[in-house]
Amino acid sequence: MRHMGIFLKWDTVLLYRNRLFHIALLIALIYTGIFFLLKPLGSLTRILVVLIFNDPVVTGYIFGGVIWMFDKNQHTLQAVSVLPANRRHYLLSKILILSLLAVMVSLVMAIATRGLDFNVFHLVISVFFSSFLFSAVGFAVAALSRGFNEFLLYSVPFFIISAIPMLYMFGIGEIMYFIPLPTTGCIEILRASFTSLNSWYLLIMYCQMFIWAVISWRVVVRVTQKRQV
Amino acid sequence: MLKVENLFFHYPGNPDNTLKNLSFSIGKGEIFGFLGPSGSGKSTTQKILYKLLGGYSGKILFEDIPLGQWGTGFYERIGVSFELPNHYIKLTAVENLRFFGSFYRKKAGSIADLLKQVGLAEEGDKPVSEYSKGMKMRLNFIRSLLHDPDVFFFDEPTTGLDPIYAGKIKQMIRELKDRGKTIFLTTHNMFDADQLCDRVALLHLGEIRAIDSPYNLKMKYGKPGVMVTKKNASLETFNFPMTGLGKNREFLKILNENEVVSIHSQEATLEEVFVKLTGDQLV
Repeated sequence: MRHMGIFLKWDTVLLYRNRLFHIALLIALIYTGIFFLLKPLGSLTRILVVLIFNDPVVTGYIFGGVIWMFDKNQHTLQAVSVLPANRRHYLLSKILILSLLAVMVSLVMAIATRGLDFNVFHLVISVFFSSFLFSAVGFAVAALSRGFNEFLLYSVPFFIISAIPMLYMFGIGEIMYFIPLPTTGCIEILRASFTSLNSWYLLIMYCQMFIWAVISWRVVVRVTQKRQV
Repeated sequence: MLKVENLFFHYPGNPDNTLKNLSFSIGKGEIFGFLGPSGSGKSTTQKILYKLLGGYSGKILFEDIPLGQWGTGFYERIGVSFELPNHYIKLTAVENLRFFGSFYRKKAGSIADLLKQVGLAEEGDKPVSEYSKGMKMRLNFIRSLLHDPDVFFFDEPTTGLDPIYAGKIKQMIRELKDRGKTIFLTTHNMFDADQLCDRVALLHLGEIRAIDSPYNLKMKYGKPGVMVTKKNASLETFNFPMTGLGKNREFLKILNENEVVSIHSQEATLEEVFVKLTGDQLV
């Protein structure tokens, strides 16, 4: 655990030095601005869900990929590989930091738009796991990509798949068709932050979200360990 | 300390072996050089030895224990200086050393002392992004010393350094040897290998062509003789075989003429040995 603490400390410093922290806040401000521009149109709960969900997707996936590429280009992956530390801690630390950043930014957005009129627990958990999922995918895709352009190209199908469950939120289709998709649980729990949903339904969504978090973790560990040198 | 037997390795997707039946051992306190041109398998061998690459066949023992059985504690025992600079460029040199150093139980000394040894004391608080390649390489080198390991892997440690710092790094390597440290050095620089190594292995296309001390290799594959240059109207050079040199009339005559400018023995350089054994160049 000591090594995990070291990784967390320095990953936070690097997030700040690489200005990813600043970019995340800027994105949050832009999304909040968009929300206020749309506010005169009436109840915007679903738009708020879309904007807040979009943030961990961007900060998680893109930042995850960017961090991996920074480390790859600086050859620091090799240097970390010969440390007496568990290589999974290296990865987990970065994913946790990005997830915590996404939570922080989403709270800023939610409070700025709704005050304290939302379920903090559902919001924090859903954003944390959304970001966890997308950071993990971002790292894995970056590890498989030969450059940033290729990484962006591969990101298109992931963004499309991640957005499909929103159709249900807008009243299209039955939930059973969306359950296998990785982000359905995240989106539905995020929606529960602002509207009341059935407890059993929520329980299923929580399970779905945890299962996809575990799957994404296993995938990223497998992919990145093969490409660390 | 380190023993390698019948090591074969090929990269996934490439059916040809990158390493072919390598066998060697390195004793405690020895500087062992791996000498070969780019693409000969030097770095691949190093990566296998510090467990960055798996999937090899053959036996590798570190202190008589199979390498695969060593956990993360193995990295407390070894120090690695990579061929390319690998630092977090947004962090300062001191921050980089603090970060990497904080993972080890043992500390070699203060970060300030290490920086001072390689002439970076004044630059320690600068971001590494502002460093030249030579400065980054010096930082690479001292990072491997942070935890006072028993075995060092140095990959082209003098690459990108000016002669003064290249000399300084070589001096530090010699001092590590004097302290009983074991050093595995990969290089294509024959002068470094000649100056530093107790023994060298000449690697070509993934195969070891010869292992011995630089001196023995030069003697074995060199041309025993002397080259005499004398000044007449112009400079004239003469070659004499070493055998019977003391009775060689022409040689003695030139010596007695008092016009000798220089006399050089003609043992081969390591590069010549390499070329002789492989027909290839050390580049």
